[in-house]
Amino acid sequence: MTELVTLHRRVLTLASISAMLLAALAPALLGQRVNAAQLTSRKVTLSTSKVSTAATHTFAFTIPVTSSLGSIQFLYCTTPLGTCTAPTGLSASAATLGATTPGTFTLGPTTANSVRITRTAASVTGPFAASVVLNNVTNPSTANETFYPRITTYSDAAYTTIVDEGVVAGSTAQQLTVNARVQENLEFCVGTTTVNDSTTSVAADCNTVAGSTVDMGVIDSSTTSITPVSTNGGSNSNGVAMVRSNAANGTVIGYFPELNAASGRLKIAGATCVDNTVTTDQCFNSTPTRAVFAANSERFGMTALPVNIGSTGAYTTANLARDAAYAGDGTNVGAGGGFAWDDDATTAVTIASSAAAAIKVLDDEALVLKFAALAAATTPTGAYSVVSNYIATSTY
Amino acid sequence: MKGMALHRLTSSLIGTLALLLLAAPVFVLRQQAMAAFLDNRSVTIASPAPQATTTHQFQFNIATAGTLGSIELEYCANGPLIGTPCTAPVGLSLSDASLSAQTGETGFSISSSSTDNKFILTRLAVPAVPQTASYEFSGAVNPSATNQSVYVRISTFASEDATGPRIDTGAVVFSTSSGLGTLLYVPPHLTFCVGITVSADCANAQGNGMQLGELSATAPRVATSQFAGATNDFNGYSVAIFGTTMTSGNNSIPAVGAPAASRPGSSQFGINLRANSDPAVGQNRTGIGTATVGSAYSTPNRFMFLSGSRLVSSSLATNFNTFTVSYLVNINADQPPGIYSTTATFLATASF
Repeated sequence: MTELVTLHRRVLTLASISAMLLAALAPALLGQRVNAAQLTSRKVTLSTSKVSTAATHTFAFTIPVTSSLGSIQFLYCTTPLGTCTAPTGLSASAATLGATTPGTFTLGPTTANSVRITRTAASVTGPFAASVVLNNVTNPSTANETFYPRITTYSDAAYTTIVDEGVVAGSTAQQLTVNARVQENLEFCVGTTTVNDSTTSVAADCNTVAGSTVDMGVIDSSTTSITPVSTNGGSNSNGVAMVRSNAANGTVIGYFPELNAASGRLKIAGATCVDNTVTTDQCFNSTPTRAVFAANSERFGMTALPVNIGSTGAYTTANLARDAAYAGDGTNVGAGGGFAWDDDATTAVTIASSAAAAIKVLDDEALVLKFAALAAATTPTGAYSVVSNYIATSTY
Repeated sequence: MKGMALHRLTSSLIGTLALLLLAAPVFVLRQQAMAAFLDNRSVTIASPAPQATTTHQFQFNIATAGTLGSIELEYCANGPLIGTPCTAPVGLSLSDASLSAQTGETGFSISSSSTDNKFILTRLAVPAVPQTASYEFSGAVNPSATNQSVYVRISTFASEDATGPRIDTGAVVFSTSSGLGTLLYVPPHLTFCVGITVSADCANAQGNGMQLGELSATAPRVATSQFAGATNDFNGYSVAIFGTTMTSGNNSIPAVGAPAASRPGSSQFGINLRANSDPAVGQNRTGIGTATVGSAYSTPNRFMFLSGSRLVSSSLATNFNTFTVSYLVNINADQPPGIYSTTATFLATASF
């Protein structure tokens, strides 16, 4: 019985010694993780989530308690725990070290999925907000994939004694491209208007431009009549052409008269016209260059007032520029006055264009068209008319 | 378990969406690459009139090098977006149109697969180079609405029948518009004025009486007046004079019945419309018109007077002329004393 008790005691003693020995060896067997704490308030910020792209990874974490800090490891894994598998495509081999807090670290060994940095070990008073910037880390090659950098701090400079640990997560993302297209736009209209200047709005938009005839009433040789004519049967209106276009290469507005009996002159329908010097045929003479109508002459012509932007909301200076032949001031006086009419035009004659402007798009810019006529003493009696067609050509 | 122990992950999942936002209002999510744009593209129409049969000329820069076999030009009323439903403009007809000119990438003809609102140009598929190309179609009929925007969607293809992937694309826009009519009325006119003096355009006429002073048997007495006229009557106008000779009660100075020279000492009353030297009085016609003096009154130094006779006339529409009437009075020694006078009336006539 005594031998059995003695044996029992020897066994217990042996067990205790073994336990004590195991406890002493435990830190060594477990990688010296005794007392390792969690890094708190930790995150990684990626400069880009685009796959397979060199990025900057900015780590921020709080060292919770005062401890010695000599080195740090960043180990990229596909999982936060367990065996570390490197994310496919990720490469930290060429990583460089950016700013670090606390103090100055130097770049240590790097592998495809790990980066180590080191310094002379020194105490850090916790809690301490630390940060490490790693540049030129190539993101994993799979889109929308989460990866887990595991952060380990060491008290020594040789990555031996673990102090604190923590895991953060980053993710690549699918690039999303949104394509949008502004459709080509051209809204052009021709009509009549009572507006007789360059600032009063002609109409809110083309939907409200109407009218098809400008009546100049009775014309004689005593004076040049200029629209709007409100007496002797005049319709008190000018013509108007308004345009809206987003053509980046500009828009040209032109006109040409409809031919009647092979002539585009203001005439009695069906009449045969002689040349532009005769005043006894049933056709008004005209010139394609702007000119003041001389007394006792016979003339018909048109001009466009300075471009009207009364309906323009997008800017304050017109982008259309008038052609010189149609850039009169609306009077029959001086160098700024005069009218033109190209009765021989078989293709559109340019009245105005935005092609030369710095900004070529047009927001409801309008040309107020003024017509002028002076009869000669010999201009035959009768009703005279001409129809003009207007075209807007946009280059996108 | 600390370190790698299980714990609640406070992962900061960071993902960044890269948005390439261009513009509103239409958004298209795409996974595949887009066709290139046809730059500097335009359409020029010869006539904007609704329903006009006219010419449509397209011009654009071919952007992509490679095989080119066909070009599609689709006319739509509802918008330019290629690949979306196209509503043909009402009244538009391309069926009878022809390809009248082509530059740049050439050798095309209109495919039989073309429709009333779509041209398909086809050729043997050959490599194309980036350059400016133009295609003119004659005999296209415009849509019937006025002030309508028409969108033409343009696509190039490697295939010869406009099937398969689009290489380059773009849209252009043109607008129909009705013509603007300009009207006026020129009334018939006969402008005529009489006075001692008149301005060339009858803007002014001054005076209506002449004083010849004391008549003499040894020297003529003379005076002048003027008149001017113009008309747009195709047949012109004429002027006649009406009145009596110089009369004082029952006494009168005889009117010269036929053109005759001045004879002091013989009682004469006559006129002419010329510059005279004997006596020195009057001047010739002035002005750019075509009216001329009648033969009875057109000889210098010869005078007559016949009431109702024609002084001047023009056989066609004429601008202004100014005429000076010279009056001549001679008396003989036996002419009874008195105050002699006459009233001359000038009548201008035109028939429209």
